[in-house]
Amino acid sequence: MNEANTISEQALENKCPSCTASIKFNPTIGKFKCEYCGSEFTLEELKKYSNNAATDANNASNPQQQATIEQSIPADNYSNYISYKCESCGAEIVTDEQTAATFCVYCGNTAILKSKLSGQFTPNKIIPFAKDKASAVEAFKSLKKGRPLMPKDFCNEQNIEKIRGVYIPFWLYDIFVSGDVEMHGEIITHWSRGDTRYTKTDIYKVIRGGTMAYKGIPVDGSSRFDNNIMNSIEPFDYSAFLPYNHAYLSGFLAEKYDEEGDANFEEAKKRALNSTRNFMQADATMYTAKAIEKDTLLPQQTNREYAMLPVWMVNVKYKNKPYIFAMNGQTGKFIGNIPLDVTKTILFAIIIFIIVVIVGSIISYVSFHL
Amino acid sequence: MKRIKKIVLLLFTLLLWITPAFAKVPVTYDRNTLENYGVKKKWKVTSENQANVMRSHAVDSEEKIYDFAGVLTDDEYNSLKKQIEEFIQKTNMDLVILIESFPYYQDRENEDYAVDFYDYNDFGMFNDNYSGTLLFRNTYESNPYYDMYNFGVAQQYFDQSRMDITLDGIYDNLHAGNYYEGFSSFIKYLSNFYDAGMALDDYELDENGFLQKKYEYPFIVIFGAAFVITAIIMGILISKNKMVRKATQAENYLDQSSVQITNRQDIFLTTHTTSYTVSSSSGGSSGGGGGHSSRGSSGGGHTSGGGRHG
Repeated sequence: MNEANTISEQALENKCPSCTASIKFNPTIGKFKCEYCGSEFTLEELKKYSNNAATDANNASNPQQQATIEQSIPADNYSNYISYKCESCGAEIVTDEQTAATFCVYCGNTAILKSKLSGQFTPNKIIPFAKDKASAVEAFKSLKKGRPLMPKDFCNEQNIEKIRGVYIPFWLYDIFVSGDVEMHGEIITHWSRGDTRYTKTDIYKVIRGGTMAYKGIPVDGSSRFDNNIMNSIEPFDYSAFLPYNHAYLSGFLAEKYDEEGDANFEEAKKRALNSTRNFMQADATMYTAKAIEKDTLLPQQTNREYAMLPVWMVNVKYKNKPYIFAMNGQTGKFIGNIPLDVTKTILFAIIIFIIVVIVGSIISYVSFHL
Repeated sequence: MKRIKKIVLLLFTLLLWITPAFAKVPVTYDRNTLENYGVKKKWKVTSENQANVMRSHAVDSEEKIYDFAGVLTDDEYNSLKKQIEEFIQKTNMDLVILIESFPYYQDRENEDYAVDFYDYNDFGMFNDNYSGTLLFRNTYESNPYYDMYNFGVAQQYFDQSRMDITLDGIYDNLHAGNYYEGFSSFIKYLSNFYDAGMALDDYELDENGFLQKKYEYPFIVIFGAAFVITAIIMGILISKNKMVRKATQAENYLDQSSVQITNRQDIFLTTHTTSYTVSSSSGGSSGGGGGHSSRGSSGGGHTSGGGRHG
């Protein structure tokens, strides 16, 4: 078996069992749907049919039916790139090593490089897309609601340069935290006798200790996506996790993780420790004021899973400046930083200021004369 | 005949020598014979205050000094009258000195009497607010008393501290019975305070002559508050455009069933108590009760200095 063959075998293209057109996972119905003949299949049904189809293909031994994908010889600066041909339109699709699944940017035909996501890179589980591209566009357009300071035409659909459904690799950390938190606590009581007011401050050393477990704190494992953006689209509903299967990737991009190890755990650990401190502090209810002085909290990683989480990445270009938005592909939570319309912002501030001054003046004048 | 002339002259001289203290007995009128019982001011005579009206002497308001107790000589009267006329000329506020002698049980009786006297005679009629000051001296032997009462604009010129200074300043003279010196320095005190300008220029008078705090636009408070409120609202609006935030918490991922708080210690270290006294707003003045603003039986307002005994 030569190398080109190996890759071509690993490339997976889902075919419609009815009409053999290429078939994609449809997020809105949660099934694979053929855009040509309208047939719908679950993953199990598709698997069953594709086994039969593979047998048929072998029997027919028609190599032209297979995707012809060649890995170009790494040369000079292109050493990190993989190129392969789209079997439908013949275009060459170029992806970098991090891109594990992609579709033809020209005709939209799907082709998946199995090698990137199999073996040690195979995720444990996946949340399939539940929101489709149209709802991402809708979400972008509806950003204008309740945001008076954004430029008027920012939310125009024409400003969307690219929308990609991407499975982002996430590390899910289970962290067990144990230890004590030591706080300075004050109980302050006030009373008065005659004209004299008294304030009594009782000072305590407050200790709260114990254990608690966090399950699946997500840390994005792709360096190409901003960690803060990935933080902001949380939370995902983990009850929708399914065992990983390549078939879900069809029609979407997928990233292979390129960040791993201490740095990622560090992020999850910080969050677990912060929340544990807050929990311990909240447990000391009888104090008027309290402040953490030190703690002996020890976070331990009890489990780590590699999961693919669905994200719609929306690239927007407005007045020649790029903006990135992201939508949680499961819940539809849409986030991103919208530019401020400077004129509107100043105008708004002035109007609010004037209104407050007028209302304040009326209140002041009326209350004086009552 | 010559002898008779001599005796008459001697008697006349004797009379002059005996009577100077009683030289100027105030002229009073029977209020029943006067229109509206002699009240020319805007105050209404009602069943409630009629007794007060009838009780006050109706006098000629041009006399200014009403010595019913007979403590001033003619010369003293004339000199004081001149000083008062100069004061009125300068300040356009009336000035009245009332001296009586009657027993009383409460200081308030003196005040009622003196204020009625001012309200139901034509004092201060030459200006809009019946402005003027009355110094009342009760020479009642077993408990002599004096106090000053301000009406109209005089309330703004002679505030509590100025009244305290004035009343304390004339105490020695009045106590010793040196009335001319006492009244004369009283007029000087008022004249000097008038020159020093209005003490309560942040107040104004209402239609009944009560002092009201003038409305002052709280510029700093309103603009400061407007600035803060605008900043908060703009902060909220701007934050709506900034949706990308780093996550610092993990409470969504906490397995509630796994939480075990096994160590709860609350160790008492120390305690301390602080106290402070809230001062009451009325400050006592020397030699008498605190001055105050009150309502006369006429319905008009006035301030008084907190009377002095002695």
